[in-house]
Amino acid sequence: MDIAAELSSLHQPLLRFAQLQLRHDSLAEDVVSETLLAILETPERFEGRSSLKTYATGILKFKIIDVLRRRGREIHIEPLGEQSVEDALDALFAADGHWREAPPAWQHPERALEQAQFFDTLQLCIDKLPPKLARIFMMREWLELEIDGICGELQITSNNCSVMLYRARMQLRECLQLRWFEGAA
Amino acid sequence: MSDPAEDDHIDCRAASHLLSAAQDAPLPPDDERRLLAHLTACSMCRNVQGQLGVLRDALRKLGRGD
Repeated sequence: MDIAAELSSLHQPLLRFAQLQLRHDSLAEDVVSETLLAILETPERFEGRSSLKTYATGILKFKIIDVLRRRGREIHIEPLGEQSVEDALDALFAADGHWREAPPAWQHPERALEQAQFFDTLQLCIDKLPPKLARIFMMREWLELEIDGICGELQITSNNCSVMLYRARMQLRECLQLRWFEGAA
Repeated sequence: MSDPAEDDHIDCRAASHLLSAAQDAPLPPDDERRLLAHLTACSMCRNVQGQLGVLRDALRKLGRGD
Protein backbone atom coordinates (compact mmCIF):
# COMPACT_ATOMS: atom_id res chain seq x y z
CA MET A 1 0.00 0.00 0.00
CA ASP A 2 1.46 3.40 -0.91
CA ILE A 3 1.54 6.17 1.65
CA ALA A 4 -1.52 7.99 0.24
CA ALA A 5 -3.66 4.87 0.45
CA GLU A 6 -2.39 4.11 3.93
CA LEU A 7 -3.16 7.65 5.05
CA SER A 8 -6.61 7.39 3.59
CA SER A 9 -7.29 4.36 5.79
CA LEU A 10 -6.23 6.40 8.83
CA HIS A 11 -8.70 9.19 8.15
CA GLN A 12 -11.59 7.73 10.13
CA PRO A 13 -9.69 6.71 13.29
CA LEU A 14 -7.88 10.05 13.40
CA LEU A 15 -11.14 11.91 12.87
CA ARG A 16 -12.73 10.03 15.74
CA PHE A 17 -9.95 11.12 18.07
CA ALA A 18 -10.14 14.70 16.90
CA GLN A 19 -13.94 14.85 17.25
CA LEU A 20 -13.79 13.48 20.76
CA GLN A 21 -11.23 16.03 21.75
CA LEU A 22 -12.51 19.11 19.93
CA ARG A 23 -16.26 18.41 20.05
CA HIS A 24 -16.54 20.32 16.81
CA ASP A 25 -16.96 18.44 13.55
CA SER A 26 -15.54 20.94 11.10
CA LEU A 27 -12.55 21.81 13.32
CA ALA A 28 -11.88 18.10 13.75
CA GLU A 29 -12.05 17.60 9.99
CA ASP A 30 -9.66 20.53 9.53
CA VAL A 31 -6.97 19.22 11.90
CA VAL A 32 -7.14 15.73 10.40
CA SER A 33 -6.89 17.13 6.86
CA GLU A 34 -3.94 19.32 7.89
CA THR A 35 -2.26 16.32 9.46
CA LEU A 36 -2.67 14.10 6.43
CA LEU A 37 -1.62 16.90 4.09
CA ALA A 38 1.50 17.64 6.16
CA ILE A 39 2.58 14.01 5.81
CA LEU A 40 1.79 13.87 2.10
CA GLU A 41 3.74 17.06 1.44
CA THR A 42 6.88 15.81 3.18
CA PRO A 43 6.67 12.01 3.16
CA GLU A 44 10.49 11.83 3.53
CA ARG A 45 10.11 13.01 7.13
CA PHE A 46 8.40 9.76 7.96
CA GLU A 47 11.40 7.58 8.49
CA GLY A 48 9.55 4.38 9.22
CA ARG A 49 10.88 4.08 12.76
CA SER A 50 7.29 3.91 14.01
CA SER A 51 4.09 2.90 12.24
CA LEU A 52 2.50 5.51 10.01
CA LYS A 53 -0.46 5.60 12.39
CA THR A 54 1.81 6.40 15.33
CA TYR A 55 3.54 9.10 13.30
CA ALA A 56 0.24 10.62 12.13
CA THR A 57 -1.24 10.48 15.63
CA GLY A 58 1.78 12.37 16.99
CA ILE A 59 1.29 15.16 14.45
CA LEU A 60 -2.46 15.23 15.06
CA LYS A 61 -1.94 15.60 18.81
CA PHE A 62 0.15 18.73 18.34
CA LYS A 63 -2.42 20.19 15.97
CA ILE A 64 -5.23 19.49 18.44
CA ILE A 65 -3.25 21.08 21.27
CA ASP A 66 -2.72 24.17 19.07
CA VAL A 67 -6.47 24.45 18.41
CA LEU A 68 -7.30 23.96 22.08
CA ARG A 69 -4.83 26.68 23.04
CA ARG A 70 -6.21 29.06 20.43
CA ARG A 71 -9.77 28.34 21.54
CA GLY A 72 -8.94 28.07 25.22
CA ARG A 73 -10.61 31.29 26.20
CA GLU A 74 -13.74 30.50 24.21
CA ILE A 75 -14.35 27.08 25.73
CA HIS A 76 -16.77 27.19 28.58
CA ILE A 77 -16.63 24.21 30.85
CA GLU A 78 -19.13 24.29 33.66
CA PRO A 79 -17.36 23.59 36.92
CA LEU A 80 -18.95 20.76 38.83
CA GLY A 81 -21.36 21.79 41.51
CA GLU A 82 -20.57 20.43 44.95
CA GLN A 83 -23.75 18.40 44.99
CA SER A 84 -23.01 16.52 41.78
CA VAL A 85 -19.55 15.66 43.05
CA GLU A 86 -20.96 14.33 46.29
CA ASP A 87 -23.63 12.31 44.46
CA ALA A 88 -21.03 10.61 42.29
CA LEU A 89 -18.87 9.71 45.25
CA ASP A 90 -21.81 8.51 47.31
CA ALA A 91 -22.55 5.86 44.72
CA LEU A 92 -19.10 4.31 45.14
CA PHE A 93 -18.62 4.40 48.88
CA ALA A 94 -20.53 3.38 51.97
CA ALA A 95 -21.09 5.92 54.72
CA ASP A 96 -17.99 4.70 56.56
CA GLY A 97 -15.77 5.53 53.56
CA HIS A 98 -15.25 1.93 52.45
CA TRP A 99 -15.92 0.67 48.93
CA ARG A 100 -19.54 -0.35 48.51
CA GLU A 101 -18.38 -3.07 46.10
CA ALA A 102 -14.86 -4.40 46.55
CA PRO A 103 -12.77 -3.54 43.46
CA PRO A 104 -11.18 -6.76 42.23
CA ALA A 105 -7.69 -7.16 40.75
CA TRP A 106 -7.85 -7.09 36.96
CA GLN A 107 -6.48 -10.31 35.54
CA HIS A 108 -3.92 -10.22 32.73
CA PRO A 109 -4.20 -6.54 31.79
CA GLU A 110 -1.14 -6.97 29.55
CA ARG A 111 -3.19 -9.30 27.34
CA ALA A 112 -6.00 -6.76 27.16
CA LEU A 113 -3.57 -4.10 25.96
CA GLU A 114 -2.70 -6.30 22.99
CA GLN A 115 -6.30 -6.64 21.81
CA ALA A 116 -8.04 -4.25 19.46
CA GLN A 117 -11.39 -5.22 21.02
CA PHE A 118 -10.20 -3.95 24.38
CA PHE A 119 -9.53 -0.56 22.86
CA ASP A 120 -12.98 -0.58 21.26
CA THR A 121 -14.41 -1.20 24.72
CA LEU A 122 -12.27 1.57 26.19
CA GLN A 123 -13.50 3.93 23.49
CA LEU A 124 -17.09 2.95 24.26
CA CYS A 125 -16.49 3.71 27.94
CA ILE A 126 -14.93 7.08 27.14
CA ASP A 127 -17.88 7.91 24.87
CA LYS A 128 -20.24 7.22 27.79
CA LEU A 129 -18.55 9.80 30.02
CA PRO A 130 -20.23 13.20 30.31
CA PRO A 131 -18.58 15.29 27.56
CA LYS A 132 -16.77 17.66 29.89
CA LEU A 133 -15.23 14.78 31.82
CA ALA A 134 -14.21 12.99 28.61
CA ARG A 135 -12.64 16.17 27.35
CA ILE A 136 -10.53 16.87 30.41
CA PHE A 137 -9.59 13.23 30.81
CA MET A 138 -8.39 12.99 27.21
CA MET A 139 -6.46 16.24 27.52
CA ARG A 140 -4.63 14.75 30.48
CA GLU A 141 -4.18 11.17 29.37
CA TRP A 142 -4.19 11.18 25.61
CA LEU A 143 -2.65 14.58 24.90
CA GLU A 144 -0.53 14.19 28.06
CA LEU A 145 -1.01 17.82 29.10
CA GLU A 146 -0.09 18.74 32.67
CA ILE A 147 -2.94 19.49 35.03
CA ASP A 148 -1.93 23.14 35.52
CA GLY A 149 -1.97 23.65 31.77
CA ILE A 150 -5.43 22.10 31.44
CA CYS A 151 -6.92 24.22 34.24
CA GLY A 152 -5.33 27.33 32.78
CA GLU A 153 -6.62 26.63 29.30
CA LEU A 154 -10.15 25.91 30.49
CA GLN A 155 -10.20 28.50 33.27
CA ILE A 156 -11.26 26.16 36.00
CA THR A 157 -9.63 25.76 39.39
CA SER A 158 -7.07 23.02 39.83
CA ASN A 159 -9.27 21.52 42.53
CA ASN A 160 -12.22 21.25 40.15
CA CYS A 161 -9.94 19.85 37.48
CA SER A 162 -8.67 17.18 39.88
CA VAL A 163 -12.21 16.25 40.88
CA MET A 164 -13.24 15.92 37.23
CA LEU A 165 -10.23 13.70 36.49
CA TYR A 166 -11.04 11.63 39.55
CA ARG A 167 -14.64 11.16 38.45
CA ALA A 168 -13.59 10.26 34.92
CA ARG A 169 -11.08 7.69 36.19
CA MET A 170 -13.54 6.14 38.63
CA GLN A 171 -16.26 5.88 35.98
CA LEU A 172 -13.88 4.42 33.42
CA ARG A 173 -12.57 1.77 35.79
CA GLU A 174 -16.14 0.84 36.66
CA CYS A 175 -17.03 0.63 32.97
CA LEU A 176 -13.96 -1.46 32.05
CA GLN A 177 -14.61 -3.73 35.00
CA LEU A 178 -18.16 -4.34 33.85
CA ARG A 179 -17.59 -4.54 30.11
CA TRP A 180 -14.23 -6.23 29.89
CA PHE A 181 -12.54 -7.59 32.96
CA GLU A 182 -15.57 -9.21 34.58
CA GLY A 183 -16.08 -11.38 31.52
CA ALA A 184 -12.35 -11.98 31.03
CA ALA A 185 -11.78 -13.29 34.55
CA MET B 1 -1.27 13.35 73.16
CA SER B 2 -2.61 12.04 69.87
CA ASP B 3 -1.18 8.95 68.28
CA PRO B 4 0.59 9.89 64.99
CA ALA B 5 -0.48 6.58 63.44
CA GLU B 6 -4.09 7.46 64.23
CA ASP B 7 -3.67 10.86 62.52
CA ASP B 8 -2.41 9.10 59.42
CA HIS B 9 -5.52 6.99 59.05
CA ILE B 10 -7.52 7.57 55.86
CA ASP B 11 -10.47 5.63 54.48
CA CYS B 12 -10.88 4.16 50.99
CA ARG B 13 -12.71 7.22 49.74
CA ALA B 14 -9.80 9.50 50.67
CA ALA B 15 -7.28 6.95 49.40
CA SER B 16 -9.00 6.81 45.99
CA HIS B 17 -8.72 10.60 45.69
CA LEU B 18 -5.03 10.45 46.51
CA LEU B 19 -4.48 7.62 44.00
CA SER B 20 -5.99 9.78 41.29
CA ALA B 21 -4.12 12.93 42.39
CA ALA B 22 -0.84 10.98 42.40
CA GLN B 23 -1.29 10.39 38.66
CA ASP B 24 -1.21 14.13 38.03
CA ALA B 25 1.47 15.44 40.38
CA PRO B 26 3.71 14.20 43.19
CA LEU B 27 1.71 14.08 46.42
CA PRO B 28 2.70 16.23 49.40
CA PRO B 29 4.82 14.05 51.76
CA ASP B 30 2.09 13.77 54.42
CA ASP B 31 -0.48 12.59 51.88
CA GLU B 32 1.99 10.19 50.36
CA ARG B 33 2.70 8.68 53.78
CA ARG B 34 -1.02 8.33 54.56
CA LEU B 35 -1.69 6.72 51.19
CA LEU B 36 1.17 4.25 51.52
CA ALA B 37 0.02 3.31 55.01
CA HIS B 38 -3.50 2.74 53.72
CA LEU B 39 -2.34 0.70 50.71
CA THR B 40 -0.27 -1.54 52.93
CA ALA B 41 -3.42 -2.58 54.73
CA CYS B 42 -6.06 -2.39 51.96
CA SER B 43 -5.98 -4.82 49.04
CA MET B 44 -9.07 -3.22 47.46
CA CYS B 45 -7.30 0.12 47.10
CA ARG B 46 -4.19 -1.66 45.81
CA ASN B 47 -6.45 -3.16 43.14
CA VAL B 48 -7.72 0.30 42.25
CA GLN B 49 -4.13 1.54 42.06
CA GLY B 50 -3.44 -1.26 39.58
CA GLN B 51 -6.58 -0.46 37.61
CA LEU B 52 -5.64 3.21 37.28
CA GLY B 53 -2.22 2.12 36.06
CA VAL B 54 -3.83 -0.06 33.37
CA LEU B 55 -6.09 2.83 32.36
CA ARG B 56 -3.10 5.12 31.97
CA ASP B 57 -1.09 2.55 30.00
CA ALA B 58 -4.07 1.96 27.72
CA LEU B 59 -4.60 5.67 27.03
CA ARG B 60 -0.92 6.28 26.38
CA LYS B 61 -0.89 3.34 23.98
CA LEU B 62 -3.98 4.75 22.28
CA GLY B 63 -2.27 8.16 22.14
CA ARG B 64 0.75 6.71 20.42
CA GLY B 65 -1.57 5.19 17.82
CA ASP B 66 -0.13 1.71 18.41
